[in-house]
Amino acid sequence: MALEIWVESAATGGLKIIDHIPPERPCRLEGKNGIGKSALVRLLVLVSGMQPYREQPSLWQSLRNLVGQTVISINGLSGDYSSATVRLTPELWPDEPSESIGDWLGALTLDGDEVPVQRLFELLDVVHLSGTERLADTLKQQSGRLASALSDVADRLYGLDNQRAELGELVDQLRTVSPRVADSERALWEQVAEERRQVKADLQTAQPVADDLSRARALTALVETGDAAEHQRRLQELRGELEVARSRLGAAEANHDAAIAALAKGTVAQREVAKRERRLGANAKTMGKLLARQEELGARLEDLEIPADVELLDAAQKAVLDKASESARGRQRRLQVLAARTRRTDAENRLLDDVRIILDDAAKAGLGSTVLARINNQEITVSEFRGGLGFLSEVDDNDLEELATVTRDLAELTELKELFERRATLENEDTQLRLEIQRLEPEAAGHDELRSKAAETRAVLDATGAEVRSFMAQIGALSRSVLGGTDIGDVEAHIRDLLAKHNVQASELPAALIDAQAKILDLQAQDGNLEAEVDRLSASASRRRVLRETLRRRSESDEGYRWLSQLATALTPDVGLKAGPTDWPDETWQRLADHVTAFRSALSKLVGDVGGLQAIASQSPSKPSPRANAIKNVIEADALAELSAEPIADALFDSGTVRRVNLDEESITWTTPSGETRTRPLAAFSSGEQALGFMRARLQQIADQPTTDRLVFLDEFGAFISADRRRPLAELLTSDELRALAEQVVVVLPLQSDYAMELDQTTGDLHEIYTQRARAVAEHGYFAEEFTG
Amino acid sequence: MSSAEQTLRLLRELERLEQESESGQTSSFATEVSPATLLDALVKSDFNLTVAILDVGNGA
Repeated sequence: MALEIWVESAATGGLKIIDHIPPERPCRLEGKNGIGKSALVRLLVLVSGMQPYREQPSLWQSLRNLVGQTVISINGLSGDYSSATVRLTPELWPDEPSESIGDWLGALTLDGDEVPVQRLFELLDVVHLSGTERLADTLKQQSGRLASALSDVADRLYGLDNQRAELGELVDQLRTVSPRVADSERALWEQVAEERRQVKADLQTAQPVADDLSRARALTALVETGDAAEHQRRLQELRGELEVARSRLGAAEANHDAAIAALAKGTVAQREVAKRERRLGANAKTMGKLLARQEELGARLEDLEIPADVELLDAAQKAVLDKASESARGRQRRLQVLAARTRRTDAENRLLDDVRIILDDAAKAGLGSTVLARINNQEITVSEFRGGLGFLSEVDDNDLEELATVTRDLAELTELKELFERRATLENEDTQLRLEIQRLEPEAAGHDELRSKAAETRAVLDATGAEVRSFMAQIGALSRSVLGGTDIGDVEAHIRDLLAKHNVQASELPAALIDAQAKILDLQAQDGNLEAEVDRLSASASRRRVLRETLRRRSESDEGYRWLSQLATALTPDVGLKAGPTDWPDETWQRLADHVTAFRSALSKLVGDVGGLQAIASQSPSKPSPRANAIKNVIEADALAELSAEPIADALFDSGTVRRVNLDEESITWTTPSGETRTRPLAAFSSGEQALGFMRARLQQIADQPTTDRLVFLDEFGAFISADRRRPLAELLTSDELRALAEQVVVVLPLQSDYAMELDQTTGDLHEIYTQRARAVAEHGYFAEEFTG
Repeated sequence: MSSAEQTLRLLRELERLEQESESGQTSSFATEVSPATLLDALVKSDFNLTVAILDVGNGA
């Protein structure tokens, strides 16, 4: 049964579309120009899933704007469905004539059932053979077909994007756990550790140099300005004054004690005053000791840019001290954990490392506050567990030199914090005691001389105590300065020694000091970076162990990862992998890593190649490249195969053998049966007899490719096929030779004559035929009937 | 000829041209699976990535 086409046109703006092709095979479709013959042919090509407007964007946009929701019905299909109806949805069509036809085309029903429009692409093949088409154009269309095929594959590959991303993560994990990376990291760890040892050794060498040069520079400045002699004289003077102040303080303490003792024998009120006076005296002694200690720790305060003689810490100074304590505590913690490692077995350390990796990963994933356990009614979170991990009470602070230093630092910082808190408490207590003494004064007035004596001696005590502290602070500050208590002559000799020790001329000292300090900074930065790298590499072994366990367990329990254990077995069949706690051998992990990495690389290249080939196939001409050459070679090979078909070789190439189709030169080379090699341009195969011969050959080729339902249009052949040759063409189209050609073959012709005018000159059957044609042309502008020649 | 078959032909031709231009060079392990082999496996598995990995793995 031949295919029948109906069109319910919704076109506007003057666009016309032939509305009917009857089920006559072969069919003659003849009509006036502009009546919509070509529009129908192109729409049918489009609904078969091919782009008929390739490289014709303006024609495509015109069709999209004018065609409306036209409905095309195809009846007489020979497969599972007998009819198909497509309602076009041009409002969804892309701006450009896309090679790949998608859902946007329209809504399809097959025997009334709504299905995706792509189903029709599988069922229907529409072939449009044009008499004006050059052989060169036919070959170029192949490039479009390849672009369309590549687009289809690209769409499928894009659908794998999420899986590709997951595969990328898995590749990273498999590479991490692979023995090859492990070996490489071990070697790197040794190299980095050695580099760090060298940097530390360099630091140990460079630090004394910088210290010496710094001291020499400071001493030189003092000597050059004459401050050195003044410094030394002032220090000696202060020491003498301190001795005098101390003896005055001793006397004041004795006088105060005696006055209190006398007061303590007075009235109840006087005894109460005596108690407080005694307390004030004790506080003064305590304060003196605290200040002496503060003086001893003055250098540490000055390191924090806090004045050594500060009375009370303000908020900013307190924050600085807290931050320094916190930093020292963190460093002490790390060093304690490091020292603890030396007291543990390898197994214990491995356990701790594994747990650490898991806890760190959990914290990174935002699970720091997750409660892990409850012990003695105390809930333990991830962060708390991590904070306490690795602690060992037996670790001695002297296990590591660095640990001993940082422990001392922390102790002094903590002592300073407590010292200032104590000072504040004493100040408050003193204020309170003085207020209480003032309140008791009226009641103690009976023995005013005793109370007055106590108050006077306390005032002297306070004053002498302050004097001693002042001298101590001044002496401390001068002693901490670069000069210390050295004699001026010794200072100059010391400067010379320092410079000679490091082979530095006095004139070069400023530059040498800058270099030495820059070197220290650089080495410290290097040390910091190397320490971080060593930490990272040290953690890698544990991370690898944990990751292997995670991947292996996931491959056993997670359906989405089961393929991993299957692949492991396939890659190392002789190993005998088993589910359970035993790790897979290194060989298995390495092969897995290699294979999945290779697969992913191939996938990336595949996506890149398909996308690149698609871009090149969609444009012409393209610049020479391996991809462009691949496309050209395939098209030439296809063309060679097609043109070598016997019917075409007979018709066009002297029954010879086609040797080469050259797209660049647009030529064909063949050898005649007599052995003569001939080359002709493609353009030569475009008219007259050869067009008919070529068309016959093409029809034969199409017929040789079986399909379910095919609709063939022979268009624009009128100029080449004279009226006396139409009957042989009709016979050919109905011949056994081309029986498999198509379910419908339509010969499209322009109006061949004015049938109404010729009615008077015809009789019999011809008159009847002309009458029908004239009526149809008058009503519709065309007629369609069985093609008989 | 299906879209996948046409693409496979192009990929194989491209592979041939690339091998010609790289003759004498040894390939790294990362390119042991060719895009054409991979596409073939993907097509056979209806573009199921894990099935294709196993397929290529079993053939490796």
